[in-house]
Amino acid sequence: MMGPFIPLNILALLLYAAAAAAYGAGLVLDARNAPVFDNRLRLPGLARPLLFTGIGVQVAATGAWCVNTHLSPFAAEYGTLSVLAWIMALALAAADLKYHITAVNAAALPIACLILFWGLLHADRTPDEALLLKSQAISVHVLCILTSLALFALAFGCACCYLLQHRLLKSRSVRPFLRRLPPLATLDTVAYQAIAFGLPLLAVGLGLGIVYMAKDKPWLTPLQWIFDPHNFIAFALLFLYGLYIAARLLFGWRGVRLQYILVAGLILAMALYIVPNVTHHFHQQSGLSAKA
Amino acid sequence: MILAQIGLSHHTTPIDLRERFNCAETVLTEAYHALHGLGVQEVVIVSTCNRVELYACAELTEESLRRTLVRFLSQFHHVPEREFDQHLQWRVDQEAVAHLMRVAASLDSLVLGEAQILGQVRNSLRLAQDRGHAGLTLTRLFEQALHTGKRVQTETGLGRGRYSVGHAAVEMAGRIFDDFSRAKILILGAGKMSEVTARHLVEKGVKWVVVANRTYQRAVDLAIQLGGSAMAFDDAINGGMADADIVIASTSAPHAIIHRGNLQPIMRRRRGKPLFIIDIAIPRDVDPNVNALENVFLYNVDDLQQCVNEDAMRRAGEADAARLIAEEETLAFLSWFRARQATPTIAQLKSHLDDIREEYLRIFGPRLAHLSAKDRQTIETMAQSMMDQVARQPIQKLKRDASGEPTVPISLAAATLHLFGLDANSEDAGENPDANSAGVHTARESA
Repeated sequence: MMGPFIPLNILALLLYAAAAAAYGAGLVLDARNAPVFDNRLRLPGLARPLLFTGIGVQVAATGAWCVNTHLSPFAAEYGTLSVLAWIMALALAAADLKYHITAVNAAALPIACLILFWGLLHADRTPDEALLLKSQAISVHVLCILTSLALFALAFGCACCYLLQHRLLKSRSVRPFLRRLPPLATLDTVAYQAIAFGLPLLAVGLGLGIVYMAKDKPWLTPLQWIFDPHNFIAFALLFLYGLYIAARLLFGWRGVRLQYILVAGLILAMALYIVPNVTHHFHQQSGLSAKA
Repeated sequence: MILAQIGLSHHTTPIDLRERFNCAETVLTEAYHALHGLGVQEVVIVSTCNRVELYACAELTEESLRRTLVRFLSQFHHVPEREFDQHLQWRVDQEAVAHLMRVAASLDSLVLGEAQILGQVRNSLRLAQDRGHAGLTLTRLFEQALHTGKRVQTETGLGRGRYSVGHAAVEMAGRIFDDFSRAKILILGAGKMSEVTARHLVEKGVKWVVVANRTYQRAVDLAIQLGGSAMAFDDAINGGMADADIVIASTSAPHAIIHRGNLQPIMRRRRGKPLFIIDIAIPRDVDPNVNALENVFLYNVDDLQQCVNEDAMRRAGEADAARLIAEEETLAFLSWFRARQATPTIAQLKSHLDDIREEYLRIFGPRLAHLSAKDRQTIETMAQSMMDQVARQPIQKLKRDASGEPTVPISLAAATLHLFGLDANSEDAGENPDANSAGVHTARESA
């Protein structure tokens, strides 16, 4: 299916890629000239305008899809991935505005580009017009899951930067462009906040999914349902991030080990996309996961 | 006139030889005194810990000026020529000017971008001026050099962010903590180094400072200065570190006081909260194995010094911009200097034409006696204007030829001297008076 949304999303993809490159370039150029003691990067030139324009273009693309097809964007794999990339870009832009974590954006924005690119590759697939997809609650379910995934990606970016910064500090290396990585404390804070918002959204998304699954397939036993690899991983993800939050809030843990949880978390979230699922009717139809 | 530089610098001369040529301010007075009567019109001595250089301006040949200055250096400092001759740097005209510009721009310094050199250059000029050794040329040269140094400081980042171990400690802490106002410092050992490092951190906003020292009163004194509190040394080692984010260790203990063993339980209590330890004591206060502990970042003086060195490398990129400025200023000075080379010729030419004018006015004076004073004045003015008009074009050409690259393969200044018989060596020089006399004689006859 070809509509104005495809070229618009291609434009958004180019804008995101340019923004990622500008963030990276800003990181390098700024490092050389930046004042020694200011670890916060100055505005890296074009990056932010490019990112915000990309976000705006994606809004237009999604709107064009809805007007053209009279369907939710989640009715097709393309639309779902496009919305995921959009939320991810939005989360990164918000984090950058608040914390000036250019380095994280330089690392995490390519993930959004990759997701959008993947979606565009599947743009020719026919959207699913099942009744279920017309339900507002299912849209909320998918939106919650996608938002949480975007936030987990942000936390993942922070964790990667944290581990890199940690390693550099341990090795006492002062390579010019790496000296502009954000401080460990900032990365830790942003990652924590991303999980603190992402985890409840994941829980809500999963809760809504359970409700609809019980309605849609009442014959499934809880055991059958829980041992569906897709559902199993989704709950493992909930547990993993729950562990992270508990470690932070209940035990006051900080430091490098928690970052490994965040890295593992996103890998697990990505596994959601590739594992087969047996009972997950909605995903099979919309193409959010590979066909079982 | 030749402009030259001779000297020994840290680039070519070992420190044990360099220090034998070092001149304190009192010695400089004697040095300038000794330079009197050597045939050197202008001289400025630049003596710093990294260099001893003489900038000279003289009406001598290059070789004889070099010989004069080398002999001076040898005799004044009592060092045989053979000992330092191979280390000497000798530069003439453009090279000498360019070198001083690089020195003032701190491009020739041991620490790139250091600001002290500008003050030293200024002081050298002042001393030479006070003793009457800096004339128009060297004063102009040094002022241009000072201008170069200032431009480099303001227009490039070469001198920006000059770095010390304290700065490096702050930068490293800044890579761990984002808000210094919430960071807690524990100072072990109330020494000067720890005080300086802590001050850097306090300036960055650290509010919570605890000082621990074997002598409790010294800890109290330093704590008051830093706006913090004091703690007993043993309490700090056992408990204080659990609360601190940054530990500055600078005791005079002969062995390590913080080991992996005693830090491990503390780190367990900290639950992964990063701990930045700055060990600036020699011998070291902290066992290097401590760095292997998770979430502990240990930096000693050498590590911080490495940061300082890497920062200097980073700023090397700014050196290109500074080099360009130095080149621009070199060209500006050379343009002025070359134009100045033609000044004696121009003066001689003007004087020669004035002599002719005055001679003819003197000769024709009696025949103009019947004229009114006003008419005589008019004729004198006319004669002056004619001479000025005759000289105007050659003078402009001479100046232009001297200030830039010569457009013809001969020196116009030399040609002028030769053509007008102003050159003492000219074949016609001796004939001119006769020729002039003949001319005058003819004029007299006609008069």
